[in-house]
Amino acid sequence: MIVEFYRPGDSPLHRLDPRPKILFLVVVLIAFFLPSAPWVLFLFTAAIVAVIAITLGPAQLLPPLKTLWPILILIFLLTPPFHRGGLPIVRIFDITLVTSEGLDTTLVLLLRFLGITFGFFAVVRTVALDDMVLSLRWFGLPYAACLVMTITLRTIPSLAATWHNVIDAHRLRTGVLDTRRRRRIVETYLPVLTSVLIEAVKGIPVLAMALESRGFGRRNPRTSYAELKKGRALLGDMLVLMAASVALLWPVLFRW
Amino acid sequence: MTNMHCPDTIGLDSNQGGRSVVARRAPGRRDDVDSPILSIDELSFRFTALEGSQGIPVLEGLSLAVPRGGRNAPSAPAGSILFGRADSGKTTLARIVSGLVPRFTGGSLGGKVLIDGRDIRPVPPYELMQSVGLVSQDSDEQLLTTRCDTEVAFALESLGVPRRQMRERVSESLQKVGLPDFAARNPATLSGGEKKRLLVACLDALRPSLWIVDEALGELDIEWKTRVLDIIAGAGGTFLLMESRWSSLAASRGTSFFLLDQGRIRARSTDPREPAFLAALTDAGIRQGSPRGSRRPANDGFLRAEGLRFRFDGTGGFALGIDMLELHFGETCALVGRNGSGKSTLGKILCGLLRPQAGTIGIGGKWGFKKLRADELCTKVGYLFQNPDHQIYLPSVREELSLGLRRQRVERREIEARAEEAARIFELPNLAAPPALLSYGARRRLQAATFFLLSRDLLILDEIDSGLSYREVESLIDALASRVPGIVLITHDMALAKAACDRILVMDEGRVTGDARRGRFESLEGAGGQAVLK
Repeated sequence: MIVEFYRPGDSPLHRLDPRPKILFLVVVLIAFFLPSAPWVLFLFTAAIVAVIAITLGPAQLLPPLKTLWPILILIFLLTPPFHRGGLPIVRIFDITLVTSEGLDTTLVLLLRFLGITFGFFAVVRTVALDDMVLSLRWFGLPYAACLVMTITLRTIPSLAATWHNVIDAHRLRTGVLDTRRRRRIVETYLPVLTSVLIEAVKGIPVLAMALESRGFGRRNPRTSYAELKKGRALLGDMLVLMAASVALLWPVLFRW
Repeated sequence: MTNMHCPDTIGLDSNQGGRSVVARRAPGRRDDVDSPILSIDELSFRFTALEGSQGIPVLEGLSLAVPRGGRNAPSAPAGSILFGRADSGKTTLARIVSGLVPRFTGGSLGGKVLIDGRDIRPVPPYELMQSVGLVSQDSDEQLLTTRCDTEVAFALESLGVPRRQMRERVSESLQKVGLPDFAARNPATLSGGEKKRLLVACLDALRPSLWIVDEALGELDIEWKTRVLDIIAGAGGTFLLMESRWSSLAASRGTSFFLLDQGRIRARSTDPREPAFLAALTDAGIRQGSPRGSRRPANDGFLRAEGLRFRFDGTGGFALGIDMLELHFGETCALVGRNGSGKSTLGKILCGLLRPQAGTIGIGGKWGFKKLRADELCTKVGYLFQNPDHQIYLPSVREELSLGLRRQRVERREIEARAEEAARIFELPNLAAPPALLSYGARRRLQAATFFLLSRDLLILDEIDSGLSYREVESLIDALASRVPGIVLITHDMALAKAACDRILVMDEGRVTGDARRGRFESLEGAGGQAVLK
C-alpha cells in the first residue's frame, strides 16, 4: 500500500537540509525552462538520475517512470506531427513523418518532463512532509497555505491506497477483476472510480473536523515540534547546493 | 432531572443512586468541584432531512450530568460510562459535545450543553480543545500527519506550547501507550489497535478537562484495554466512555453509568451492579444473555490451509506460519489473540486478498479436496473488513446489494427481489438510501447483507463486533448463518466468543497456539491463551 511519497532513510540526500533542496529545485526548474539544446537537457536529466540512483538506489527510478510512461509515449507520438520545420528525417512515400525540428522539440519536451519529475521526486522522496511545512514556513509562506500543500500531498497517496482498498472490496464481492476486454475494463473500474470519488467527498468534512478539534483556526501564534538545522550545518548544505546550482546553470548561462 | 434551569446553580443528577448534590456556583467561577463538568439538558438533534432518514431524531430530550473528577476534584469520581447500541446516538452526542455537530454536518440542535458551566454551542471546536478532547470510533478520521510524534504534537503546536515542553509531553505520552519506538512511523501504517492507542496519546499530551472516548476499547486486546483504561482514568481529567457492550473492566473504572436508547437516557445509576440497571442493559442487548452456540445443521465441508508462510515486504518482525488449519463449515469459529498476532493477516490470506510466500489452501468435503488459487478463493471465502466504510462505497443501498449479483449475471427482477429480502432480514432502511449517511450499525448490517447474498462457503468477520451491542452482533451472526455454511469471527471479546461460537482458535505471534471446541474452552488457558482469556 502506498501511503506517502517520503521514504525514511539516511542517504546523503536525506541528510541535506530541506530548505537548500527546495531552492535547488527552483534552480532545476529554471534550468529546464531556459532555451537549451537537447544534449544540455540530457546532461541535466542524466545528472539528476545519477544522483537518485547513487544515493537512493536504482530501484527508486522506477516509481516515477511507472507513472509517467503513458504521458511520455503520448509526447513521443503527438509532438513530431505539429513541428514541421527543418530537414525531413523519417518519410513514408511522400509523407514526412518526422523532421529535425520535430525531433528536437520532442526530445526537449521529453527530457524537460523527465528531468523536472525526477527533480521533484528526489525532494519529496527525501523530505518528510512535516519538514516540508517547516521549510515553506521558513520561506515566509503562511501556515494555512503550507497545510493545504501538505494535506494535498498526503491525500494523493491516500487516495491511491483507497483505490487499492476498493479494488480488494470489489474483488471479494465480484471475484476476479477481468480487465482483458475493453468493455469489462469500463464495467470493472467504473464502480471502483465512483467508490473512490464518494470516499474522497466523504472525507472533506471529516478532515475539517479533525483539523479544528486539534486547534486549527486558533489565533494564537503556533509553535513547532520539529526543528530544522541551524548555523554551520545549514550553511554547509547551502554551499553544497549552491555549487551544484552553479554547475547546473553554467552551460546554459554561458552557452558552454 | 438535571437542575439546569437556574443559571447560577449546577447540580449532580438527582437520580444517581439517591445522591443529590446541588451547589451554588459563583458567576464566572469554573473550578467548582461539586459542579458537573458536563451538563446536558433537554438536548435534541436531528440531521437535515435526507432520503432514507426523514423525520428520525437522533437525540430527543436527553439530559445527563457528568460529575467532575480527576485533577479538578481528586476525591470525586473519575468518570462516567454511557452504554448504548450502535444506533443509539452515542457518536452524534460525542460530536455535539466536542463542538463538531452541527457545525460540520448541518442539522437542528435544541437544548443546552454546558462544559464547565459554559454553553459550548457558539464556541468553535478549536476553542474547546482544552476543555474537551475526543477519541473517535473511527481512528482514521482523526489522523492528520505522517509521523506519530507530530500527530501527538499537532494540538500542542496549535496551543503554542514551547518546543522543549512539547517534546517531553510527546515522548511521555508515546511511552505510556507503548509506542515509543513508533515516533517516526506513519500513523497510516499502524494497526487498528495501535491507531487507537496513538489517539489516546494525543489526548494524554493535550490533557483536556473532559475526555470523551467513543468505543476506544473494541479493537484492543485485554492487556491494552486494561492499560488504556488506566491511562484514561489516571490522566487527571474526567472521562466519559461510550460503550456498546457491557465490560466489567470499564465498569470498574466509572462511577456514573447511563444507558442511551433511541436518543434518550433510559436508565442511570451510580452502581453498575444495581439489578434494575443491569436488567435495562440486558434488555437493550448491551449485556449478554445466556450462551447460545451454533444453530446450524451439520455440514461436512471444510477449508484446509497447509504450510502457510507469509511475511510483509519490508517488515522484518512479523512472520505468519501455519502448519495445518482446518475450518469446518457448519460451525462458528472464533479467532482470538493479541493486537498484531496475525489474525487479520490470516483472514486475508484465507480469502485470497494476500498471497502467502508458501503453502496451500483448498476446500474439501465428502467429495474430496481441491486446492484453490488466490483468485478462486475470493469466490469461495468472503471477508468483512474491520471498518465497514472500507467495504461499502456505492451511492445507494440497492447498488451495494446488487453489485455482486449483477456480476453473477442474475436477472434484474431476481436481483431486486433478493435485495429486498436482504434489506428486510438485515433491517436496512429503504433501498434508495445513501450508505454513507446511514448510522454505524446500519452500515455494518449493510456490509454483512452484501455477503449474505453471495453464497460464499466461508465468511470471515474481522472484528465486526466493534461498536455493536451483543444483541446486534448475535443477530448479524444468526442472519449470516442462515445462508453461509462456515463463519470465522475475529474478536477481542472472549465473552462473545464463548457465547456465540462453537470453537475458539488462539493466535500468538503469527501461529495458532490454541484450539478448543465448546465445553473445553477453559483448556485454552494452558495453550498460550491466558492473555486473551481473562
